[in-house]
Amino acid sequence: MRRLVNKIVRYLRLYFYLVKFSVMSVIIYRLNSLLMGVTSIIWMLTMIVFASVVFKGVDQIAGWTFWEIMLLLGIHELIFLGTWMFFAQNLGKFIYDVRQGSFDKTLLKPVNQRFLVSFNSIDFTLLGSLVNVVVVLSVSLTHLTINIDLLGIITFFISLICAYFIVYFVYFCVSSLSLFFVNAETFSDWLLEMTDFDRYPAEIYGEIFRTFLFFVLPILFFAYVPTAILLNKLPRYYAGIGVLMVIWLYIISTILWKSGLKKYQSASS
Amino acid sequence: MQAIEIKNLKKYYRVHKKEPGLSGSIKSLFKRKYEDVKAVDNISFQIEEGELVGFIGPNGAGKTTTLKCLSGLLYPTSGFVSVLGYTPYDRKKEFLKQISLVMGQKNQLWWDLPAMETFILNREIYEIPKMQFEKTLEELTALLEVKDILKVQVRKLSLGQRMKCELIAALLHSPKVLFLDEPTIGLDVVSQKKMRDFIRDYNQKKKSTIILTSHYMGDVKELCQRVIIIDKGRVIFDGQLSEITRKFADHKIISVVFSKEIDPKKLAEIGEVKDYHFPKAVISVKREVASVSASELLQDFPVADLNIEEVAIEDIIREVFTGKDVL
Repeated sequence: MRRLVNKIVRYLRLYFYLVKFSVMSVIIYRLNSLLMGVTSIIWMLTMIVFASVVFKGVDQIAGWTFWEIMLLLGIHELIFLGTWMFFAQNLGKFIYDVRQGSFDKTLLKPVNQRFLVSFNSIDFTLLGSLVNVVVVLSVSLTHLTINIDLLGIITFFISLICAYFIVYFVYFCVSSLSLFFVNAETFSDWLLEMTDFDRYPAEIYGEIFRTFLFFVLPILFFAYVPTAILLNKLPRYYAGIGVLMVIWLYIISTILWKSGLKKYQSASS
Repeated sequence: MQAIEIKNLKKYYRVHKKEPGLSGSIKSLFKRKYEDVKAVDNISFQIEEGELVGFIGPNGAGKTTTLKCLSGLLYPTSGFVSVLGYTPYDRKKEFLKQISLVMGQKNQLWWDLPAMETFILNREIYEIPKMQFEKTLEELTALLEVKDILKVQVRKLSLGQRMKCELIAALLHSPKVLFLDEPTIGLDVVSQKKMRDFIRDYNQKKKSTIILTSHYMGDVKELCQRVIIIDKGRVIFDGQLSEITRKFADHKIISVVFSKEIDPKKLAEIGEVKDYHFPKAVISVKREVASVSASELLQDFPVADLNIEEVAIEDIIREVFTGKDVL
């Protein structure tokens, strides 16, 4: 137990330093930070305008109202804000480092290398985007009447936490493919495109494709499942399936990582 | 005690061979040709604790691949590798805390921050006690004369300054085994000299085991008594630096200064004339007849000055790598 506590303290200290260096790096490039925030606002506005145009002709899409879809969009952005802030860009860099051979320096460090690859920096430039996410979520919630009990709230938060873990493990699995194929940027881009399917209600997809998005490439667990649980549109046991999905993806990602390291070829000096 | 042991190490890569141009790229989409590249091909050697060994060879000889197998970055195709009693590719934390790999062409410092920040991060990663960290840092910065640049952004440092900081980052945890892959590459003559002095002092004071690869023979000549020469993935020489001359150069060089013009054809009877521009001539003669040839020169020619020399190590190595006869 004491060993575990020491380990947690050690990794928290290490993370503190990594966060500190990320802040210092961001401060150096102030203009870049400002522009990143602006890009995010533009992207969010585009999505809202698109949804508004669609809803001019209809009241509901697959049983979802405009504000329900806005809530889905807000939760999706909340998930991806965390994803990009905490690990997605690090995993993108990992893919690049494997191709360039810069991954060598990580592999030589006497710490959990998976931790170092995933959480070596925080992208604080995205912090500004939190404002528009909060605005979209707040406005959506004020327009919705949500009847939910305490268990429902707990289930919602469990599914939200699972969503972060699932996004992380899916991204990590895809990034680990770079250890086998050297260039895995296409896989990563493809995954990013696929995540767009999570911006819309799952009910609009056909049965087979929906099953694929639930259980093969579990993108619907990102934002759809938490939102649908919050809106009572999905049975609560889906939160439990989310927990099982986390365990399953952890196992898969560990196997991929370990076998990938054996295949790692580095790059010439 | 042995610090490093390699037995029959092989590291083969399967590489995709693509024909040049767009048509080659399209063809490779449908049918790919693969070839096994023998980066390291059945090499064996041992290195004792505290030794400083030069590991030399031409580009693509397998030097860096060997170092990467030794540091645990690469899984060998086959063979036995042991460093400090550990199997490197297990990448155990206790092992990684005792080694360091410095690659002259790769950067491990945080590019946008001062080098000091990377040192602090390494203190956390390697779990170096604060007192020991400060003492080692003080020692290293003084030896490498970089105290005044520790707070300067890494990207603003010169190559020489950056390389010194890279070395400090690699040595803060006082590794028992140090792999130096071309640490002086791109450095000016003064910086090269300082780097060599530092490596020599460090090896002597800390008794650490060091493998050094370098394209600069000056590094190897100044620092290493023992040299391992690798070519096409195979060890072609492992021994004292002084033995290289005996093994690969069966000739000696006689440099002569003449007092009068001579007949070059007559000079060719003594040995192979490498160069003749009056008054100087350079003749290559068989090692065993060098003294006889010298006395013939003194008797038959108007000699003002004469020197018998060993072939320069640089020349021997160059000729060995290019597959030509040594002078």
